[in-house]
Amino acid sequence: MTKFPCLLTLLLLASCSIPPAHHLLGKWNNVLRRQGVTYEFVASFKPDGSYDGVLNGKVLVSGGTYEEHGDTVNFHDPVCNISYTGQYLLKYVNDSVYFRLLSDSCTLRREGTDGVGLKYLRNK
Amino acid sequence: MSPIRVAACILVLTLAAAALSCNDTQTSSVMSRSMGPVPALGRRLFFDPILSADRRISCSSCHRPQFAFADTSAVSIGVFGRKGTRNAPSVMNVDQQPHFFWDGRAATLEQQALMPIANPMEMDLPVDLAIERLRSDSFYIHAFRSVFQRNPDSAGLATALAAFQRMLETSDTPFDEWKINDAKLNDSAKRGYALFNGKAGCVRCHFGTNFNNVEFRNIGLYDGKKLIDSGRAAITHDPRDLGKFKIGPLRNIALTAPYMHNGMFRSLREVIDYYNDPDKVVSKPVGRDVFLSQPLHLNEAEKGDLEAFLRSLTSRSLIE
Ligand code: HEC
Ligand code: HEC
Repeated sequence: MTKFPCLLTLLLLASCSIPPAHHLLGKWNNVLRRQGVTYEFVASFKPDGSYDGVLNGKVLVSGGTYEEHGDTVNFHDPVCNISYTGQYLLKYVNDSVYFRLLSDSCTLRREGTDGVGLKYLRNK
Repeated sequence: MSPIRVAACILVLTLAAAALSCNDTQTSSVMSRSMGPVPALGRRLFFDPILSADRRISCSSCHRPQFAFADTSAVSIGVFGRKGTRNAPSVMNVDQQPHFFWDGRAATLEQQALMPIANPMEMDLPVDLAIERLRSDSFYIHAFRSVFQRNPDSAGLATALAAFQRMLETSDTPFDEWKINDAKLNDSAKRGYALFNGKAGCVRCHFGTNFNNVEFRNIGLYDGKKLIDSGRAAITHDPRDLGKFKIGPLRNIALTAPYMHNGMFRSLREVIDYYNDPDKVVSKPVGRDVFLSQPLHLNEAEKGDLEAFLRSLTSRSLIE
C-alpha cells in the first residue's frame, strides 16, 4: 500500500523537470567532463523565436532564430551565414531532446548539433 | 641588531612590499585570488625574472596584467633590450584555444610555456639552465616538491605556467550579462553587435566564445615588401598559408592595443577603419581573404557602434 504514494511522489518530482509539452521553448543544458574539466552548454529557446547558446558562462552563439514544425526544427544563425538553414529532426526522450541532422551546409553548426542531446532545465 | 642588519632588513621588506603590492588593481586582484597549489606556483613563476638570462624579464614584462596580460608596445622588448617582431597577445581566455602564437606553432599551453624562456629575443635562457636555477633556489625546491613531489623540472615548470594561465578566463562582461541575464547594455553596443553579425561581417571569422575560431586567415597584412611576416606558411610550408594568422580573440580587446600580429594599428578605431576599406591602408596585399574584398561602407556612427560593442567585451574585473 505504501508503494503507491511513493511512486506518485517520484512521478511528481520527475515531472517538475519535464517540459510540459514536446517543444523547445525554455532552457536546456548539456554537461560534459573532459580531462577533469567540466563544460556546461546552455541553450535558451525564447518565445519570440530567437535562441542563444552559452558555454561556461560565455556567449557562444546568439542572434539566431528557430522554427519548429512538428518533429523538425529549422535554425538560422550567424555561425556560417544567417541565410543558411539547418534542419534537424527532434526526438524527445524523458527530460531530454536529441537533434538528428536532416540537412545543414554549415559544418561548424552541424558538428555542434547532430547527435547532441540537451536536458531540460526550466521554462524561462 | 647591527645597523647593517637593520638596513638590509628594511631593504628586503621594501623589495618584498614592492613585489607584492603591485601598483595596479588588476595585478593585485590576480595576485590575491585564491588558486590551487599548481596555478599558484605558476603565478609565482609567471612574475619571476629568474627565468630570463639577465634576471630582469619575466613573462609579465610582456604580458602585463593591467592590460589584460598583453603588451602596450607594438613589438615586445626582451632581454638586453632586444626587439622582437610580433605583438604580444593577451594570455587571458586561452583555456579553449587550440593553437598558440600568431602562427599557431604551439598546440598546447604546456608546449608554449617553455618557448619564450629559451627564445633569444625574449628571455634567452636555455631551459636546462632555467631548471638549474630553480634547483638552486630554496623556495622553488620546496614548492616543486610539495606540489609535484619532485625537484624542479621542465615538465613541472610548463604544467604550472599553463595552469596559471588557464585561471585567467573572463566572462563577466556587459555583453554576456546582456545576452544571458537580459542586463542593460547601451544601445550603441547593441547596434554594434548587429553590425558585427551583419553588415560588417566580422562574425564570419570572429566566432565562438572568445570571438575567434580555430582557423588561420589572411586579412591582407602581408605584401611581401614592407609587410614581410609570412605567418602560418612558415610553419606549414604551404604557399596557400602565406600571410595567414591566427584569428585574434576579442575578449578584453579594448585593453590590449596595439593590434594585429605586428602591432600596426594603435587603436580599435584604426582596426575598424582598416576593415572598412583595407586597400586604403595596404594597397597590394598577397592572398587577402575574399571576405574582405569589398569596402564595408560603414559610416562614422556605425564605426562608433562597432567599437562600443568591442568595448562591451571587457571583463568587469579588469576595469573596476
Ligand atoms: C619579451 C616579451 C615576452 C616575454 C618575456 C614572454 N612573452 Fe609570451 N608572447 C610574446 C609575443 C611577442 C608573443 C607572440 C609571438 C608569436 O606569435 O610569434 C607571445 C605569445 C604568447 C602566448 C600565445 C598566446 C596566444 O593566444 O596565441 C602565450 C600563451 C604566452 N606568450 C605566454 C608566455 C609565458 C608563459 C611567458 C613566460 C615563460 C612569456 N609568454 C614570456 C612576448 C613575450
Ligand atoms: C577573414 C576573416 C576575418 C574577418 C572577416 C575579420 N577578422 Fe578580425 N582578425 C582576423 C585575423 C586573421 C586577425 C589577425 C590578423 C593579423 O594579425 O595579421 C584578426 C584580428 C583582429 C583584431 C586584432 C586582434 C589583436 O589581438 O590584435 C581585431 C580587433 C579584429 N580582428 C576585429 C575585427 C572586426 C571588428 C571585424 C569586422 C569589421 C573583423 N575583425 C573581421 C580575421 C578576420
